[in-house]
Amino acid sequence: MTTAQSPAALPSRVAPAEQSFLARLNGPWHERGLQVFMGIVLAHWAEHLAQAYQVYVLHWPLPRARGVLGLWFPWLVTSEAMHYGYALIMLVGLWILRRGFVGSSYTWWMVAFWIQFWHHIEHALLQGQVIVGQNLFGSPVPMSLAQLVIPRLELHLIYNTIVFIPMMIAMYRHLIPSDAERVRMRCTCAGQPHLAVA
Amino acid sequence: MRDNRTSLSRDVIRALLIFGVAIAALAVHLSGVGAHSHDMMAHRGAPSRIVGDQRVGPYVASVWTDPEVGSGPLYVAVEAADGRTFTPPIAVRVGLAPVSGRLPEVVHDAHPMPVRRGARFMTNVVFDRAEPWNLRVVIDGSAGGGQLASRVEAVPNVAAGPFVLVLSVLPFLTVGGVWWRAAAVRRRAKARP
Repeated sequence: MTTAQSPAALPSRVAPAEQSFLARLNGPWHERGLQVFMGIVLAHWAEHLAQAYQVYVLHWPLPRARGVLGLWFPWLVTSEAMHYGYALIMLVGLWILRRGFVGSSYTWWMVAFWIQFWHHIEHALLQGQVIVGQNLFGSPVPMSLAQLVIPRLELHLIYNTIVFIPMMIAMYRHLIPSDAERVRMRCTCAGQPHLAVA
Repeated sequence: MRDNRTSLSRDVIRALLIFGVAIAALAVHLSGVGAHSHDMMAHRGAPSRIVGDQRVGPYVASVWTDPEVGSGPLYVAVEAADGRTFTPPIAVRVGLAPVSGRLPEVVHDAHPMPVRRGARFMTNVVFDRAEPWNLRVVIDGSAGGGQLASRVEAVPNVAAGPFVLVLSVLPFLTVGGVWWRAAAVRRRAKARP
């Protein structure tokens, strides 16, 4: 015997079988997807926070101040591949989760995406120089284009910050949407669990 | 449909404008604070060329470093002078002393680095004060050698530690703030009759 249920009473994790993975990711799974993505972003920031703490509070020498993971896996910090990998994960995450956003939150999310796209190009240039064994501009170390203007370690923090700001504005507008945007949303992020089965 | 598109482009333009202003403000702030950092962070950015393509015996050498106060790498790139066959130098030494003469010259032995063209040597140097320094690079090789002399202006740096720490904490506060605000809005919406 079956019991009739209103959509709102159905469990929020149910996903209709006919939906594609990307459709689910931007629909019923969007909230969880964003949580995982935000977890990755914050883990990266946590590494920076740990490194800054080691350098500026504990006064460790820079080569020793490798964050948390870098203490056990030093190659993670010194390898350009790790930085490129993170830039790529960010880019893919911003791209595959974009369809869940609507209206102004989508606009801000895409602003973050395009900045990250450029950031990724910069990392690809660095990685390319490591692979080819020839640095740009005759530099003794791999150089990105922005380093011509800001030749600093802080450039990495600047890039992460300028991607993070529009991303958070998008998240804010996505979690607290206008009424017009709320009706267009297909995910549960703004507290509409019935959309999980829509 | 057209209205939607117009509204979307207006949104994009508005978002880009606000974001542009925020970035400009951040850039101005960083150029004043973050761009001159504590000595622990110094020298980890890209080095700049302080001596460009100078003839030293059978070689042409250029010298690269980040001349901020603190310790960091100094690179000497060496190539063959025009028309000569390149024979890698046997030894490269770098001497640094303040122009004021308050300290004796410190000579560093530079170590060769793997490169595909020419040769590159690296050593760690220390500028303990923001002032002009005399730089001397001595290159010895089986094909001959020589020395170049130049002057480097070491520049001061300002502690960026508190700034970097605050910047690294902000994302956690922001995410917490957004999550808290969203939860409050949800609670209010549920409480509505």
